[in-house]
Amino acid sequence: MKKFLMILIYFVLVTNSIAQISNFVSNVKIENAIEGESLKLTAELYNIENIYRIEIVYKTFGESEYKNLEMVISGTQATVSIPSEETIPPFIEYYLLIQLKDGSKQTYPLEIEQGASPIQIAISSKSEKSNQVIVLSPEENEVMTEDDFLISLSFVRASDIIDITRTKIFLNGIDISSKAIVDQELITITREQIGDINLENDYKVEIKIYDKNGNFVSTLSRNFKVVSQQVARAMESEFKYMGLIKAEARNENTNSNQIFYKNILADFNSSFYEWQLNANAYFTSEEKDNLQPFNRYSLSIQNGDLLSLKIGDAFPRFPNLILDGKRVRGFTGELNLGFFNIQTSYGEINRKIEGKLLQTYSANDVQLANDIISINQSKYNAPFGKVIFGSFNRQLFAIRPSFGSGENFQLGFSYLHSIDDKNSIEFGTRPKENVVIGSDLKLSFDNNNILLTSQAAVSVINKDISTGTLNDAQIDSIFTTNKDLNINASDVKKIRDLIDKFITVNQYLGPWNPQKLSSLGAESSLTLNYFNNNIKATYIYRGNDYQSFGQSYLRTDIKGINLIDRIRMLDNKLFLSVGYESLKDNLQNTKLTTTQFNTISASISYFPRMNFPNITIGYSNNHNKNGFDLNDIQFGKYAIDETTNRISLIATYDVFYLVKHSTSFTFSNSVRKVKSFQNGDSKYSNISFNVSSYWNKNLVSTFGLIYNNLEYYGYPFNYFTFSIGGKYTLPENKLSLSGNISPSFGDFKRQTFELLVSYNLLENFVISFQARVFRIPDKSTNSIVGLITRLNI
Amino acid sequence: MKIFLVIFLIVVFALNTSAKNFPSSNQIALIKKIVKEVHVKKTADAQIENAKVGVSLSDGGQVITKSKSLAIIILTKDKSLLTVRENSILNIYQRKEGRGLNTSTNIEKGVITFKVEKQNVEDGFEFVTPSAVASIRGTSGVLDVDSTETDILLEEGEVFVQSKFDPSKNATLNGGKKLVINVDGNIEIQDLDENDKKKIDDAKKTNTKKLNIITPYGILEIEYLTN
Repeated sequence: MKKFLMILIYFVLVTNSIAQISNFVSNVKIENAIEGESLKLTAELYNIENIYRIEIVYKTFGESEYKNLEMVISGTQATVSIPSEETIPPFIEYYLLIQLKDGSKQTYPLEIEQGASPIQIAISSKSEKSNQVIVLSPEENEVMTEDDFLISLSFVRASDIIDITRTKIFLNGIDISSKAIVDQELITITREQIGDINLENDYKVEIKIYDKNGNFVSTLSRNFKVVSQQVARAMESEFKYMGLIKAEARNENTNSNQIFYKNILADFNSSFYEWQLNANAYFTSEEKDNLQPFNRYSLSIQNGDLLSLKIGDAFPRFPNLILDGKRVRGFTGELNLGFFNIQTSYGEINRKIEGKLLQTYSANDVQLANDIISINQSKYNAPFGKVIFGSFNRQLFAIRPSFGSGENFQLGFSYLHSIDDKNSIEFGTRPKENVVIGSDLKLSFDNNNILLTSQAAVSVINKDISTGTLNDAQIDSIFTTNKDLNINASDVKKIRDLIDKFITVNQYLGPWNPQKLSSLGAESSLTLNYFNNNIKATYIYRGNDYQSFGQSYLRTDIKGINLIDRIRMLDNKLFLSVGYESLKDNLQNTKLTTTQFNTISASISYFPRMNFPNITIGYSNNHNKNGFDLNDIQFGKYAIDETTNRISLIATYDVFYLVKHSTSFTFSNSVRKVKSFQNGDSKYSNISFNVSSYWNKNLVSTFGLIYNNLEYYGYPFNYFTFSIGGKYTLPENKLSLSGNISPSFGDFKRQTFELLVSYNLLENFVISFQARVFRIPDKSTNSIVGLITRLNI
Repeated sequence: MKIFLVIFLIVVFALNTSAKNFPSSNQIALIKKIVKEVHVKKTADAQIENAKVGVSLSDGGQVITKSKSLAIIILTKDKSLLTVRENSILNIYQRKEGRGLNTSTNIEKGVITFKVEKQNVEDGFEFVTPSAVASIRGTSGVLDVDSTETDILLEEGEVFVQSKFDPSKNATLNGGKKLVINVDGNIEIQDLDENDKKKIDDAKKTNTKKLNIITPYGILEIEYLTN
């Protein structure tokens, strides 16, 4: 009765809903939202011909600063993995930033800048109790012979509340618990217990653990394979390899434009003892000379954590003030000896894109404009031309030697140099050069319960190296002829010769006020992990001129503190998180006034791991205010005084009624009050509900509802979307069919239909047909039709 | 408001300070794989029997491998792996001290390949041989033991070794090195040479392969170990 009551309460909550719409993103799939494990997101795309680049913009609980990562676009999907160190309960907030080829941008969900809330992903914690139950055999992806078949669990470390005899073991969905031998703190199932049947197959073993009251505690699973002796011998060769080739042909019909795309992806992984060799390549017809590369390729060799060498495209991770999230096409490698380590990256971060000459001018009729420059007169018969500027080839070199393994201590020093090749294109403006030097330190004590991390970097940038370094005559003309400056020209030359070894020296070199720490970036954090409290205190400082070409998304001209406490209770079932952040800008007095940014946030999460929904409730209050009075006649128009309050709820629950139904419900509401003469207030509400029903091993259905309500500058924008779909797999997994219909109503009207058919022609060869139709009533009907083949080697 | 705060703090304190006690450990290890002829004693008092995959060993348990045989055993407390090579005898013991589990393996003779997981602060792991006691916190390598001498070939990690009869004679061995200690407590440390590395590679081979050679007199079957 209680169960039905809880189900009823849960469904009563689902009376209204919100969701996400986009002109470019159909949906985002999330895998593995678990603490300390990397979080993979896959966005299904359409209108791909307009997309130039997609980034995920995300932050963890209690932080106001977002981080960006570029997503890798492959066919109709864009994927990214948020690093494991960022997946911290209670949740991650994110939105997608879609840069279009016409230079404009759009977010998913829409209208983020107008006050719409980012999407929250609840990060569930690992149960300490499930960590305490050890799967002795099999290992994940283990290959074993029938004679070696062994499923075994150790409860030596398990809590007293765990009841070993209630443990359920499922092999490919079939309950084999009755075959298990339970002996004190050990459970084993051997070949003998399974019986005399042919075991050669792929398996997934699922283990469900219960407490002494019969309450479900957690699930563990392992995938493994049983093969014959002959196959095992062949697989036990020192050289192992596997590969994948995927080819796609796709026709997109958008607003009566037909575009045909082709792409091919090849991935090859091999190992020889501890050595791994990986090669991958993605080539697409979307590759164009006038855009940054869409093709991707790399070849890497790796020996565990000791050595890694990669040629081609890489996203190296240095301390985040220096280099993080940038694609580098060239060489990336690292050697980790423990007491000494070295990491380096060298290559191209921007490809040259030639500009365009639109019009020429004689010396008499030339106008003054930003896009009119002097051009090669002998080549174009005119001295000046109006151009569309291209972008220079930009090279980057970074190196970081470090000392210590990082387990308890590591001290690193970083150097980054990046420069535009000014001769790489004809029509470009202001080629730049950047040098950053920095250091970082990690200290940990008491099994990492006390962790101190710190980094600092100083940047120097030259904003126009087209004229090169100042020569002696130029220095003399300034300092010899202008005695009032009271600077010795020979001293300037000495300094120039010294600095010129690192960066071009001329009048565009900055910063001009280094003594005010304008190009300093620094942050330091102390984490204490005691009494189930995880307290992190961070101080950040970034001068207004700090810039690294290896890091495009750093917020500068900001300093302040951030305090977060995550309290774990009831074996990580209950989380209470509180955060406070206080930042301010105008560090070098380069603005009329200083703005203070204060945020308080709180969240409570309950992950019961039993017959009750996982629930996360969050609240945040953000107040930004500067020193100007709204009524000030002169500066009132620059006054900032705005407050945003936001509440959110995420609930997920597996309902067992006839079959399993995985449900999720999210609610988000934010209200921004802006004190100004204009009505800049905004209100945003979003409710969504989704259910996936697993009718049998071959049939899964999905149903979703979304309600969105936005009011910005007094203008409402409301819509409602529902979606229904399913996936049916024929026996023996030869053929699978999946489809989805999703109409939207209200201020946003659209109907979408998606169909995917996959057929396993051979055991390792799959052919898929994909069709998507998007209809915007009274405007357009667009479609994508594609054929994908996939071969596993 | 203050009352709520006090109640909240009491609840949080109570939830966080509930002590956890691990149950005592009965089964120390489990046989994961066997090749050819392996015998076990499940406990100190048990009879010797033929080993099977899935058989567990408790305090005082013993593994005996015959010629061309081996056994892989896995520790139930942390999944550390020990491979008992041919013609070896290994005894295993474990005692509970506070929250910790201290495991001791007594090797009378033979070759043991070990991959010991990093031990919790409260836990311990040691090898006892006729000439030495080696304490390990998380490392991998090979132990070659006879009645007068113990060789430890260490791939990675760190091992503290002391003479069984004179603890004042001791040394710390780091990855990439080899230590030889005899019953008199004399200790020699040197870098792993090519022979040592080959010995480590050979000791890791746990799978059998068969090679059939057809001769005029019949089929000659050669079975050998490989990785």
